[in-house]
Amino acid sequence: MSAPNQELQKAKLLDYAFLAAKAERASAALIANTPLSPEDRSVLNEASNFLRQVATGAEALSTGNYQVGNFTRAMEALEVAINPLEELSSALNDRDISAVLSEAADMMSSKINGTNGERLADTELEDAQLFKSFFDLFYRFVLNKIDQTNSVAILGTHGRFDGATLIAA
Amino acid sequence: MAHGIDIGYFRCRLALLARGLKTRYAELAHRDFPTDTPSRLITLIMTVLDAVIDKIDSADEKLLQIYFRLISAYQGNLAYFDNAHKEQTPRGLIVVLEGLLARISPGALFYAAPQFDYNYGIATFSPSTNLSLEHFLTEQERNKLPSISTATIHLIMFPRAERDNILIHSVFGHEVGHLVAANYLTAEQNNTEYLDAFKSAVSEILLIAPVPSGVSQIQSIKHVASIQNALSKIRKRAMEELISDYVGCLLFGPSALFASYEIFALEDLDLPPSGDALYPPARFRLRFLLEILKEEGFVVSIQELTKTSSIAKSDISYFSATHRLIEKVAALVGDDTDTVVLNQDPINKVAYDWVNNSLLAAKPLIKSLIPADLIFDVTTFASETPYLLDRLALNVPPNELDVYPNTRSPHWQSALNASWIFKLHASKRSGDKIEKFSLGDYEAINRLCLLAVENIALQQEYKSHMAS
Repeated sequence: MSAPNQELQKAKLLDYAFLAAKAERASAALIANTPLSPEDRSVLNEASNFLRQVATGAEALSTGNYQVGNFTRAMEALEVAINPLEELSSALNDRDISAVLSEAADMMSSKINGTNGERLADTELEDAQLFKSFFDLFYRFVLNKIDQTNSVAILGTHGRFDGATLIAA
Repeated sequence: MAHGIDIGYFRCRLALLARGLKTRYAELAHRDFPTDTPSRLITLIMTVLDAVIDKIDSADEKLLQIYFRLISAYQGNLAYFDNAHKEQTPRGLIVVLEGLLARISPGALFYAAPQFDYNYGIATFSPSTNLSLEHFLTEQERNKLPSISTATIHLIMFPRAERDNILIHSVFGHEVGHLVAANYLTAEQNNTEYLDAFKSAVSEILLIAPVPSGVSQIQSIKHVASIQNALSKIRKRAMEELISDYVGCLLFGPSALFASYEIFALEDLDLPPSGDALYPPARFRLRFLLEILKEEGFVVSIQELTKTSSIAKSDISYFSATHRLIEKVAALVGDDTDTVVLNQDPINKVAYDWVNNSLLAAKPLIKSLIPADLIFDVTTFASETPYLLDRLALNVPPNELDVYPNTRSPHWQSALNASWIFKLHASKRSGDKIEKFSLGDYEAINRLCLLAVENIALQQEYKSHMAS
């Protein structure tokens, strides 16, 4: 009775998909030094906060210290981000994951809240590229996950009585 | 993921799809729903679909792919409105739930809908989250939406075939309990005691399944995260179900056990947590329900009441069959095969050890979270149900105590429990003979009980109206 409903899980994934797609697009604009819209700034702020939660979750599991801010929220963020992070691991060059993610998030926050028109320095550009790559991978992962939660294929099945046909055969 | 699709073509395709879905919602908007929540939600969804259509023109390929999935998800939500109208929702249920939810979750909206799966459920949601609006619309756009977008809504679901089976709707106490469980579990999340217990449970499992040596940092994190997520979900789901069972028993009395027994008895009683649902084994839950009834004094009370006779001058008390059912459940839960199955898996074992410890501490706090006047106590049960049983034997709704003109309303829980006890008695007097109930007799009990519950609610409403 009252299992967690699939619709809510899918709704959360769709929300992550919007965040990821918009954050990737806005970070591309920042890298290209094109003006950011108010929506870009808002999305980049929220994406940075999400990345900080992932970093907090990674730190808690690495150090075994669970007394970190909102532990549950950090774990939820880490759970959904762990596969994209794994794909990104070669770009992390054995650096501490939590520190790298926090640094990228902090850099993005400082840039979007700072003045317009400044070109990114080389180290900032590296962080921004990592940020963009993460949200690109995150978008792909989330969309794939949404499709996996569909109980039936959109096309390609004979119908709901397939099982009965098999038994008869 | 980028396929290089013809963006112009698919913008048009998705706009037409969104318009088609909006038309389907418009067809449902003016149905006769028991509350105005479904109509307001439908209006909101239609407004959001308009926003989708507006935004499609400027969407890139990535966003178009999300819009397609968003519209598909909204189409899935049609199922929660299709049969939520008055003809397909039980009146008694609405009356009882409306009263309970108003006290347990003040300010929240609710509606009920039958579902095709055989399952009861409560889904608590905010449309803003469930319609994925947070990152789809800007804050400014969200602020212009109908106010229901930020409301808390409880959607109560029940198996369609059970619509008229008001006796089994006793499980709705459990569903209301999910709201109490959610509050309790949210509050405990960041307290030190919980985090220490969590860490200690993870460490216990890591002793059995340590991080493989020589793996990278990310693989090490992934290993610990997978154990931690599994443990956390199993423990959380168990706590949700068991706290809800506890609340269900406190609100509905013994009828909560009777309804659960009917649902569980034909299932595998020892099925360990599995799939997304991760339910505790049914035997574990029946054991827990019986313990609560014992703690609250109902088991002793029912045994005492077997010594009473009835107005129908049946040879045996109405309560004897109920007492026998309780003994049957006691025998079922005396078997510990569910615990044996749970202990075979290290994560289940650690999770359920944790659950058993947590429940001991949780119960007094949970009880204190429920308004005292909503709790169905054993004194009320023992004083009201015998009289109501006599009314049922006379084919009269169990909605009044004492003798006209000095009658008074019983608690609706007494009507429900009396109906269960009468049903379990399963026989009636016909002339000098005692006859077994026919299927029609069982259905008649549901009708009498429904009339009683509605009548009691009406009386209460009338009294409170007159008092004010």
